[in-house]
Amino acid sequence: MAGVPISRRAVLRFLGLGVAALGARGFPAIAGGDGGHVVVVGGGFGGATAARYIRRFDPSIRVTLVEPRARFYTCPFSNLYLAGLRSFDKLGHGYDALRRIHGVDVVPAWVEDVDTVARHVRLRDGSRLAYDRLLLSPGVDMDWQALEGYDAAASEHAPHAWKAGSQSHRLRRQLEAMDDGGVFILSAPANPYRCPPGPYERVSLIAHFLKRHKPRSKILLLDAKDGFSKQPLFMEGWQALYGGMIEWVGLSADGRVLRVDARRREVETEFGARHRAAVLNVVPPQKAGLIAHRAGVTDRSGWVPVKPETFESRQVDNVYVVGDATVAAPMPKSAFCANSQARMAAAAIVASLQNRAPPEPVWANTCYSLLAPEYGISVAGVYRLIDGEIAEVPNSGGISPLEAGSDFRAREARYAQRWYASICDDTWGPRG
Amino acid sequence: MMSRRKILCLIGAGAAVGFSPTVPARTRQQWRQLEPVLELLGDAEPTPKGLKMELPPVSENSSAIPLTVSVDSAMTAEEHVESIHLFANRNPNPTIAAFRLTPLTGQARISTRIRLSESQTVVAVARTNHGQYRVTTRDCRVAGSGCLMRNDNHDPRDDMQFRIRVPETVTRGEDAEVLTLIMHPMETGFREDETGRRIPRLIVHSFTAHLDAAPVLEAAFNSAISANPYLRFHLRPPHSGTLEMQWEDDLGRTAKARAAVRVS
Amino acid sequence: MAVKQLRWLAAGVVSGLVVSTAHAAAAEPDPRRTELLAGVCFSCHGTDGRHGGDFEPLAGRSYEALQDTLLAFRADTVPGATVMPRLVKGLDEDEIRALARYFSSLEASSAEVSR
Repeated sequence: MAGVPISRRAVLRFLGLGVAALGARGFPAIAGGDGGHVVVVGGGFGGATAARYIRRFDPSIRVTLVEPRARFYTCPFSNLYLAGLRSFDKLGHGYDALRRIHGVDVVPAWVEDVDTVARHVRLRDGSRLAYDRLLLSPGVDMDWQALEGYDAAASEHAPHAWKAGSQSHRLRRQLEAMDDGGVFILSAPANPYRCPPGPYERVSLIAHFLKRHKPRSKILLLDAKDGFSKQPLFMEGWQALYGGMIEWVGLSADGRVLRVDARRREVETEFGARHRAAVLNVVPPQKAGLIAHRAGVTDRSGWVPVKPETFESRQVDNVYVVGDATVAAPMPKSAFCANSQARMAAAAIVASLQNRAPPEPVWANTCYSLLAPEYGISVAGVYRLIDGEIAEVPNSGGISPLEAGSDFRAREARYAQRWYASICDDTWGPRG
Repeated sequence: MMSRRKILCLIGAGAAVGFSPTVPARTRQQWRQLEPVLELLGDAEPTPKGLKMELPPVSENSSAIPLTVSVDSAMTAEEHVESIHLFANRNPNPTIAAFRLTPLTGQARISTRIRLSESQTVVAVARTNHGQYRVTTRDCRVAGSGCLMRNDNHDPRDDMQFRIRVPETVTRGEDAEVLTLIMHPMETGFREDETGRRIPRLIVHSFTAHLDAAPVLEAAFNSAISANPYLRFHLRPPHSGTLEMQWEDDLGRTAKARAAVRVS
Repeated sequence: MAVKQLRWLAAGVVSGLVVSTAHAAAAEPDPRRTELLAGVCFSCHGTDGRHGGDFEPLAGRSYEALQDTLLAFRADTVPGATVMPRLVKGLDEDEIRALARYFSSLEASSAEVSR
């Protein structure tokens, strides 16, 4: 925005709002107002943040956010819901603020396909939306081919609950109905997948629930990895809070699940051990959301390689991708990163539409995990471009200290709550 | 642990300059700069024919990267893949491992887990019993993450404990998968302790599998094989027998596993 | 070193742009850059640092207070600090000053008391 005089800005804002208010769904030939037209697909942490910040950085740009659901339910804090510690409704966020306050045109529709040559997206009803720049925030899809016996139908018996929604309700109901003394099994995938500490927070909070309501129950965490995010902190917390209730079986101890019998709630590991659960929660391997594949931005890994300086696709021009679908390692697939990447990508898109060089990026991440309502731990990092690749800034970042007092853990738990409120506000605007 | 990870992460990022998903010709020919590869090849001019390597393009855990190498080839006495060799051009010791195969292996397909010290090109070389060579390469970008820090809790009491999965019955003429894992820290010999002294190498250096007395597979491991060496290979038994497997480490410690295989 | 170099390059691009517009006189770094850097703080402290609660609101605090606090976090001299030292160590001193200037120049939200 450097150098655009305020008065002109005000005029542009007015024009931008005017065009957005008219809507252009019926006029695919008109690509945008005088600042250009950006279509954003997906209204999660990445998409909603990008839509808002493009409008903030340049109100003369028209932004259309395409998201089929009226409300977005967050994966962050959904483990609290599973443990009976938060209402599902409080995980939901709508798009009113984006519409009313930020002047984003929110279109409730499914995107069926993307034509990256003609530069338009095709909606399920057959209509088209032309774009100057496209930003995809498709999130993840479960890879139903990756684990024998585990597909969409199987997930109705053994839920993944790795997207907040009906799957979360299913798992919650199963936990409520479980007999005291039953075994809850969670199967965790190899990297990369959405929310690296998620499985470990989940078993922690479920242990909290079981300890209070079904104290003779056990938790078995079968893992396709030999190490995981914040591992020493989780291990310490599990011992302190839940004694021996949680057993973790890593890759080298035959923790990798290769086969699932969802109806029997049974899994088979690599070396042939069979485990039967009262409640079976399978977190399968994942890949970028479907629309990323349709747009041709994914590679053989199933994820989306991006130019790190802008998060524009490496494979398709004028298509930007943010969030869990991207290959942004060492940044993890977290809500914080999606929000951070989206703000940077928004600035890069605005710069590109203004024929300027993209700004120098800096990203951050903080992931809080709750082991109990009053027991929080964190990992944080700052990332920059170093020799053309995303890298953690040397000597920054890291995890909470081991052997910290309960007041420290309680404080981080409060911060986690506060973080959730703040990032949701920054993403979807103040709650109405 | 922290600083080592950081350094690795930075080296990794630095080395990745110029890498892109479509591998430029320059990296496809990287093996030509690799001394041990040239030594192995001698005057032979290799082709990539039928040799395939599966390696993730990006790894967030450089200490255990899954790798599968396979050759589309008959495995008969007249024509078979005799050996497969793996190299990593920027590891302190570029030789990762070598495998000697036989017709009893049934299928030239091996999976293991490797360590990469930084982003680099992994080279696979296969040699047929007629002395023909195949070469292929894969780039892997190593991107360490504080979010994925691993816990190095090694318990020496577990050393040389193993797990195997061998099929009880195999249909005549078909092959079956054999899985093995042995608990071992695979100390590389390149690490230093807190006082700056180099920790001596201590690895499982060899693995052999025999069906009764006939060799099925031999493997020579180097430091770049991940802790708790993991090996998946195939077996095509012509008759019922006992599969005997043996590992040996630098201290001369051995572990032996036996499993009966019935051919139906 | 690579980071420094990049930053220098970015500064060059930005100053070129500033000269080409009517705001050549501005000696401040690109306001967008500072805003983007500040964005790192928004996810917890709220958009423009206007969220309160357990986190300190940032908007409208004095330049000195912000700078001193950030530098103290960076030097690990804030007892009981949690994520802040880990994050601030990813910034250099110029960036810390730019952030302090940015947040001190914003008005505190009505709900928060300005300090």
